[in-house]
Amino acid sequence: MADLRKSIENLTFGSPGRLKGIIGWRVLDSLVSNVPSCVMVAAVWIVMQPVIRPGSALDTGALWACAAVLAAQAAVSYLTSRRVYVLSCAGMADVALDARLAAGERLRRLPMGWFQEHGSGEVVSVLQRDFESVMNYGWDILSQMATIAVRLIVAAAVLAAFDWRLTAAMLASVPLAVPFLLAGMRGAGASSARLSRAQTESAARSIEYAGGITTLRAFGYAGARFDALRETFEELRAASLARESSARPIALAGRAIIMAGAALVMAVGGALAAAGAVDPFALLAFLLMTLNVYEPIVTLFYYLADWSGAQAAGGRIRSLMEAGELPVSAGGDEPRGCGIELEDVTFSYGGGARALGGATLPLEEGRLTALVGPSGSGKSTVCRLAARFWDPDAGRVLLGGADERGLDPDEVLARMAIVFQDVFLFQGTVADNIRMGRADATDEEVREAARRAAALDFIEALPQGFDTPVGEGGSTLSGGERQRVSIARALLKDAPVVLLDEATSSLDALNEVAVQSAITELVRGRTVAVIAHRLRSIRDADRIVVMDGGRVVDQGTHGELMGRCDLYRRLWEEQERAEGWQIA
Amino acid sequence: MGTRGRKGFRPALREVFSEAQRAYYEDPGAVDASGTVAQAVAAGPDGNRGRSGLARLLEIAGGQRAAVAASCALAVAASLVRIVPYLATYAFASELVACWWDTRAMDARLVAGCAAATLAAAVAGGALSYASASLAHRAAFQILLEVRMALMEKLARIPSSWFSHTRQGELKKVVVDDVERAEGFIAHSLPDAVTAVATPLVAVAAMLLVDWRLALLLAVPVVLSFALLGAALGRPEGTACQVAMARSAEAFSGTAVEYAHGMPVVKVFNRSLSAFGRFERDAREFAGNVRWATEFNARGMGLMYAVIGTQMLLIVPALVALAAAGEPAGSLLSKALLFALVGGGMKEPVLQMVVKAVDLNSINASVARVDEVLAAPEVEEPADPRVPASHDVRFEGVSFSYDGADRPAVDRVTADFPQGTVTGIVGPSGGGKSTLAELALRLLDPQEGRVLIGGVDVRDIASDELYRACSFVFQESFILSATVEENIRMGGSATHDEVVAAAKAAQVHDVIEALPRGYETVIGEGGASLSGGERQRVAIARVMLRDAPIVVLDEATAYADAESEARIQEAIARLARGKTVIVVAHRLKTVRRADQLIVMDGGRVRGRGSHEELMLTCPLYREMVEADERRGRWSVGGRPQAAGRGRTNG
Repeated sequence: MADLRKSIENLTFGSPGRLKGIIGWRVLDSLVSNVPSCVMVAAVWIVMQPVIRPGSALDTGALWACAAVLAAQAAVSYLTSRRVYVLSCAGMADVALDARLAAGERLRRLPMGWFQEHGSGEVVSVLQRDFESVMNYGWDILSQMATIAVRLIVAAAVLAAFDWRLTAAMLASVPLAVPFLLAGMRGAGASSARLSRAQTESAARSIEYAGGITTLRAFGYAGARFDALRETFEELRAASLARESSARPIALAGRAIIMAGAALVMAVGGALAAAGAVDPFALLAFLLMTLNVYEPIVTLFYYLADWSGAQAAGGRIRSLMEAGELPVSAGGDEPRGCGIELEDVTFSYGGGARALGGATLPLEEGRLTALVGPSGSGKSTVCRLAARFWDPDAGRVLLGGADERGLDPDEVLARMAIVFQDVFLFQGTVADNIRMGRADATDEEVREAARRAAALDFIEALPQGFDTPVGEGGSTLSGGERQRVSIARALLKDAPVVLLDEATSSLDALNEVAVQSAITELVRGRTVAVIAHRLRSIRDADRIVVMDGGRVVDQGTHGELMGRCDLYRRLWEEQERAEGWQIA
Repeated sequence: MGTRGRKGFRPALREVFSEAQRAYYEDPGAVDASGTVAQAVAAGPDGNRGRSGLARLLEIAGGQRAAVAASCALAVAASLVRIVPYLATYAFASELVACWWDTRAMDARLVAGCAAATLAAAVAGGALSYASASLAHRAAFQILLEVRMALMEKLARIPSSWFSHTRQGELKKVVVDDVERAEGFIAHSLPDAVTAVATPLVAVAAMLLVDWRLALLLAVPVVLSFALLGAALGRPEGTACQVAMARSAEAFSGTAVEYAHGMPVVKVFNRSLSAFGRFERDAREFAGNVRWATEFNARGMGLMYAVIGTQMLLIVPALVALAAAGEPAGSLLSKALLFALVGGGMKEPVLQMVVKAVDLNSINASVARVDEVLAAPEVEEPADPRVPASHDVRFEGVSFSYDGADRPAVDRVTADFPQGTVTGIVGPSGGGKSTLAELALRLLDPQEGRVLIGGVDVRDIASDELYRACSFVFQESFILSATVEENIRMGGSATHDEVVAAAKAAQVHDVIEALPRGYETVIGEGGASLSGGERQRVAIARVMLRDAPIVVLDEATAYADAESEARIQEAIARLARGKTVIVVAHRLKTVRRADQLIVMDGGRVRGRGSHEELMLTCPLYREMVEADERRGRWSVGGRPQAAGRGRTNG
């Protein structure tokens, strides 16, 4: 029963109540569409009279009455089926809309760490494919179930009044078919896990092949990779077939059993008739009605694979909606100020290798702290934990003296401006992208932020200035320009803490000088953590933290570290050598 | 219902659910609603594609026709079997009526035969459907395999210039989403659709033998309901709302992708919801278009459903008419029973047919997009390929413009890159440096001028030969989802030791050793993740191992960190000996001592020569060198006294 409720919730985006109206109409419509088969029994009865009572005339008046009932039925059926159509399409679209908006809202509240674990591809697949699947099939299945239930109950109640033995014969095959229905569902469910893996794999490999075709060709490796791709596609084909053959035979067997019920009615009816123990009219009615009662059940078997697919899709939507937010422990302190401290912090990503092992370091308020070290030393992890993307496995992260575990992650993020290494621009104008920093900023403020980010000149040189579209499809900006837009965004936000991944190395000199001046603006007077790639650019930092293998090796000023930290000195010397290096 | 004066007749008063709908009501002409929905939705402008949808898929897949035909034949057989229970019921009922007053007189063998026939039909029908479906699935998945392979094979023959940034996005949609959509249809809907079409046809045909007038009456609701539905859907507004629905679904999916990818930014900056605003707007627009289409179609669908169930309504008066025409009572009863039973059994398959017809329509657009990729121009292999004698690279008056750009990215460039020398290409971003590098590799073909290797136009060199001669490292390194070793070896015949040596030279050996399974670790999507610098070093290791005579390095050390940059550069210097090396550089110092420097700006060569020569002759170069100096002095701690300290250091 709990399973059933869960399954219904999965198929209705968690709000089964909103489908009550739709299902009510569908049941009504189903009853209306059943009228002709009842009239059929009456019409046969009327036409039969002259045959079984030789001499009596055909009651054409009664037949005309039947026709009148049928005409009325057609009119009512137009109304009910129209209503059902509107409610099912538009109504389901509305329910799906609300669910989509809720999911969008939900995504904003999930911790940043969740996104790093789940990947945007998965999120997109839920938002698109899974919603579509539930939208297309969820309603169909539920209303079909409702129709079946109502038809069976009504038929059982009405026909039992005629003859309970024939009723039992008619309904006998229904419970026999149920195990097949369930087995079919289970089979489809089990094999659809393999199928879904094969689908994901073949999608990923296709995209990889399409994206890397230039490199593959250049290295003469396209052919070999193509073979690997073929294998992936072959597996997809096999998995698809496996899924079909897991559900199909069972579904068809179930369908055959249901239809065999008609044979049972004939056999039982025939035996009763031979014994003279049945009212011939009742037997006739059963003969005429049995196939009609079975019809919606048979249809249900058609949808078996879709059903289990929609069920799984609904489950994924549900687990998105139920994904855990980071807990906010009660009774936490209010942060005083915006200094950040990591106290003996240990952390690993999703049970993997340890990213931080007992790191203790301050990001002092109003000061600039640079994080340096080889790749994989834990620099980025420090910034992510400072912004409460995750909670540490051990140790504490303090913001203004308060444990961040006691703070709402959104509260923490509200105090931060983060400049990511990969700049993401949304579809929209340049101004829209800068205004993300603060939605209520005036045009003048947006402009001022752009000026301070050294972005004004190039923005004004764009065809439509601040109103030029950027982002996918309209990406007309160079790497340095995008970076300055993202810095303008951060400037506009005017947050007290700035986390900066200083990845200016891919820029040409002119661009880089511009970005440097933008960064200088951004970090002035704030609590700043910089992940430094070029040591020269952070040699004046208030504090330089040298990291290696998830630990803090040393911290101090450039002068101090040059004097006592071997790793720092080595990094510095290597870089100086690289700076002076020349090809040829 | 639907009388004049109801809002349905005055578009201006009608309820508006979506922006697309409002636009259509304001000016129906402005919305392109000509032709079919599929044509309007499909991207390609080229109209005469010949076959579409399912027929086209079968054409692409070739060999599956027989299997599909057999599957259809079995589905027809299943439909024939499907009417057996109705006929058995008819026989049983006739016998019952004949013995109405004493059912004990019924023919026991006949009754048993009816029950047995019904049972047999249930079993045989199931078996036939199963056989039909199995064949259809086998064929369907084979067709899809072949379509996927055809797409991927095609990709290897399309010129690289075709894969622009936007194309990449569209391509993903085609190779994944569109093929999957077609799959859903042929795999699941095809056999059902055949059964759905065959059942009413078979039923009507069988009934023609009994009474052609009543048989034709049975067909009337089917034909009529389809005509009504077709008429409703075919109206311009019907097409317009379908198109709007399909387009808004695509718009939403684009927004969903962006929303998911941009979530870090949304969370950090967009507490005020503007990105969510677009998500919401597009989701609402889609729901609104569904509502529009629904309201528009409501009448047609309602009529269809009502009409489809009217067999009895037509048959009852016909029975009266037959009786009036003197049909004997017994025969009238038989016909009443038979046609009532068969007519009632026709409704469900016909409804199925409608659903499948709608599905079929929706795959046409997908198939058209698959076709568009298959029809893309291919790289032209030279008819008479020539092998270059040396590896000197020469540009002769080369111009190249990207589609839709208002000025050329490379504008009449003539330059020599002699074998055994290093040429640095410098200049501001957007100056055409990378385009030049791609032209040298024939990733792009010039619209004007020629690129020569060893005196041979690259277009006259077989592409395999060309690929053998060149290797490159780009700023964005492509990583396969495969082991590190495979990523470095890229299918070549190098030994493990050679791979390790290349990795050491590229300064990535230590990183690889630190991975959970060393060189056997799977990287790339779904595997261990590498930083940008590490990815680039894997790409450099590839080039080291490959040892091709022409090497193009485009910002090859862009991501390198302090520790490794110097060592990578040394390795590159060793690699460069005796080769033709083209280095696109943003750090001027890197290429200061190159044999020659070419300064590019606005697609043109602004200066060439050695560093010393350019300092004297090229103002742009001088300016860049000065900016480079300033960059070196900058410090993020940026207080005035600190800057002073920096200056003394520099």
